[in-house]
Amino acid sequence: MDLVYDWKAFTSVFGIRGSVPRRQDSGHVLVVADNGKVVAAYAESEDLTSWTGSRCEKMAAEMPHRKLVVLEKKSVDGLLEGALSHPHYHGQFEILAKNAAALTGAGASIREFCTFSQKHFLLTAMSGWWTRILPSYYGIFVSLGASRQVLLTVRKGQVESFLNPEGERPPLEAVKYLSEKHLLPVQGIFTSAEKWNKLSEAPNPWPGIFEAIRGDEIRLVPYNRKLLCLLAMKAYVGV
Amino acid sequence: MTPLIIRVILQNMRECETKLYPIQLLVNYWEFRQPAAAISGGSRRSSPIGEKLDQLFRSGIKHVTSFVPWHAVETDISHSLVRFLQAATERNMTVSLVLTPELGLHYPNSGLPKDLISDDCTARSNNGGKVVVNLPPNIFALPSFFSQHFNKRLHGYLVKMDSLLCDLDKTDPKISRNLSVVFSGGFWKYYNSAVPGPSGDFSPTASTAFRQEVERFFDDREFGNESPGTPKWKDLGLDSVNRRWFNQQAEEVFRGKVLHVFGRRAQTNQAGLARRTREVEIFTPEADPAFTYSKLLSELASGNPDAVRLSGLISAAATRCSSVAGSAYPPFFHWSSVGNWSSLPDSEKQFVLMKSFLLAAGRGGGVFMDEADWFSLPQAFRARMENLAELFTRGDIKIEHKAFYLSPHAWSACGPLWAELSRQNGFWSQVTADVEVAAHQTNARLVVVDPEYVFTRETVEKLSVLARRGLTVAIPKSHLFSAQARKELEYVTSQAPRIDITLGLHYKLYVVGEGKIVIYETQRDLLKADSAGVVKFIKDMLAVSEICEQVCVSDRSLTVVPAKLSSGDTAIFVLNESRRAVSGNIVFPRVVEVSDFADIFSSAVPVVPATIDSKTKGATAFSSRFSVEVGAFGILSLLLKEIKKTVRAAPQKSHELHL
Repeated sequence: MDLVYDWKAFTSVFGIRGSVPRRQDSGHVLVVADNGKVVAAYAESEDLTSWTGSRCEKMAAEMPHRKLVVLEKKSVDGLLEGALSHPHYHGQFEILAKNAAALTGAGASIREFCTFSQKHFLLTAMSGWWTRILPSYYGIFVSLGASRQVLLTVRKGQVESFLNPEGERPPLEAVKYLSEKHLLPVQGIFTSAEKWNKLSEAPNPWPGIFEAIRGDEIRLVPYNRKLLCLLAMKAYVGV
Repeated sequence: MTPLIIRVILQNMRECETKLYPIQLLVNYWEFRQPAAAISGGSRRSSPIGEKLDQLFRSGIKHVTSFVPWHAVETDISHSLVRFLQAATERNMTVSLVLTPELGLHYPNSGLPKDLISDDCTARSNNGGKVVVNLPPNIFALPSFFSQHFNKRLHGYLVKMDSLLCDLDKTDPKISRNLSVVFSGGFWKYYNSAVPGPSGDFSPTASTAFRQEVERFFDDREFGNESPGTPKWKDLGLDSVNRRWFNQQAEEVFRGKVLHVFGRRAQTNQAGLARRTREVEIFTPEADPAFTYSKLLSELASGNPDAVRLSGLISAAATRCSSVAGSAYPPFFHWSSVGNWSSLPDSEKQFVLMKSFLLAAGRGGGVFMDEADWFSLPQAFRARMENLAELFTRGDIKIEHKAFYLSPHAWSACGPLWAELSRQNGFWSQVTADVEVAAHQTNARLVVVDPEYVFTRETVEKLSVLARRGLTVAIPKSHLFSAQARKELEYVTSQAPRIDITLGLHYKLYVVGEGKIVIYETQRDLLKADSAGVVKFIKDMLAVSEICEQVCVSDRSLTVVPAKLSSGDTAIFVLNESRRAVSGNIVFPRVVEVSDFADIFSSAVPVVPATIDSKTKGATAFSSRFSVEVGAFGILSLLLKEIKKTVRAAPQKSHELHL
């Protein structure tokens, strides 16, 4: 049986490796409240659990130097229920983040505080203006070795499914097999886990990607000139 | 309140039980697909699942566990479950299969078939909202166990599993010998809205079932005679009270039904009897609605998950005891491979794992975790956990509970009395809905009954038996007594000597047999969290029941998990649940001899308690007060020996254990 939403395979390639490094205190506190009482409070690297059940005004009074972004539980429940129609977590979280950005809490907008989950550079690019150039339905097979590989199927710029193709095959054979099995054009990206991790963590990975393709550290299978042009645009024009 | 027929079934089923090892490594068999060549006649040994089992076997693993995704069973055309069982048997490995639907599985809808996630099947919390599980591979709303469609489908699934395993008994009896089947309580514990208030399913189907059950239950002869002082039991005004016992009963009936349906064919099949059935309580902290919001906020902020919140959920779950007829189901914490736990920083990840392990293994349970997550932990940490697991398995160490809080529903929020009991007595206390749990614990000293408990004559009889045996039983002076129950209580207390306490929360203390019955007032203005009356009342109850304060810590970030050794000594684990190092004092009521317990479980071969003395002689200290330093998310383990005569000693600095 095929796991069409293989979360482990997806995060092994597009997830953040290890834990998120602790960030500097931004001074903001995110709160979900029900009738003025704290249900959950979050600020990076802080223990705010003891505030659960307290009144938001009390919390605000005791933290005069902090900006509280208070979201009503009802609105958050609405966000969660709104995401249920999408079949997988990645898509659901995109909907959640998009709708959450529109929420304005008491005193401040959530947008001021949240980064709405840093997306992987490739996922961001695929859902951007590339959708106008790339086919409406295609697959991207990223292989960082047999234990870390994923086939994304993308429809109109949106990730439709993510699965872990069985076994290890030579690049050309693997792409041909997947393309025939799933009846869609598949672009393979083959590189080492080390290189991929380095690029994934870089603030602007595109010049590095272009260089890595030229230096044969990343292999595009099949060699796709259209994709190369798009990558060059990203790397040297920044769009 | 459990119907008698269910109790009989459960007790029969439980007879063949043996304990599960405290560390259960999960292998998700459905993730290993059989290559096309192997399906058409290739070698079994070379299958991906076979390779994984070989790898585990080489690492010394002889037993694996797997959840069974319901949907995977229904669509399993390549017989991957059977292939997995065969592969394990070929390698002489034993397997446990968890058949009850559980959360945190790496499968869409946590393994539930898609048609059960539809709107007309979903459970509702007390505020009318869906109970949403925010875990990959997809966010979904929990179905209602009261839904007819759900129950029909569950029946079909269990019958299919029963048939499948019985057929395997016939064709390959060796598989049966190596197989055990595990049942848990399902989703009942997750039916809440994450805010204090009644827990349980409030969907329309659940409400219909509730109304029917209220009618049936209170039509009983015991509640039939309405005398002055007894409430109108079926009134809507009592719904919040009745909902609680109803939810508890529904969970027990569900467990009974699952066992009954599953075991039907096995009971008529001689080979099937060889299959072992175990009942446990599995809790996935990250699937709890209380964690949903915290998880969402951290993800929106691209931050790390809140380990302190997770730790709080572990504490809350570890003090709840689900049971039947006095036998508590061993609790297991499930650390899902798809949750945020694995993305925590190492120190926090190890802390929450070790805390959950200590609290669960001390009660005969343990942890479920993905084999890959287990092997990603440092070797030294795994060795410590394995050594502790050995001690727990042999019964050399266990957590004893001295105080019980009898609530109508084990998973519902309890009132201020429980909050205070838990604050003053820590992990020595436990919430239960089964009065017989206290009877089964040899060291139980105190039972405090929730003010919203509905008393039947049977309950009052059981509580008075406990009092006669030497326990202190605190009963509310409420109107929730049947006429017969009230008569029984009056009879028990009528001839007993009485003391009236009118300071703070008023109560009357009766000396009954070896113990005491306390009848306390339930005025709303006095029964408030942190009120002086409640604090004093609980203090009095602990003193009356001779539960002396065992250990006191000076910093609120430090919590203590006590454990009793078979040698009679005590081990305590001091947990720092904060992100900063904490220096504080640990104060014991008497002078104690303290040594480092880590010496016991850090050694390659765990030492038996008889040899503890000689092993730790060099590092002991005598005092009633010790200053300690515990690193951020650190755990300090100490071995205590009580000293009868007073020894004067200067405060000692204890050894610190960093996990």
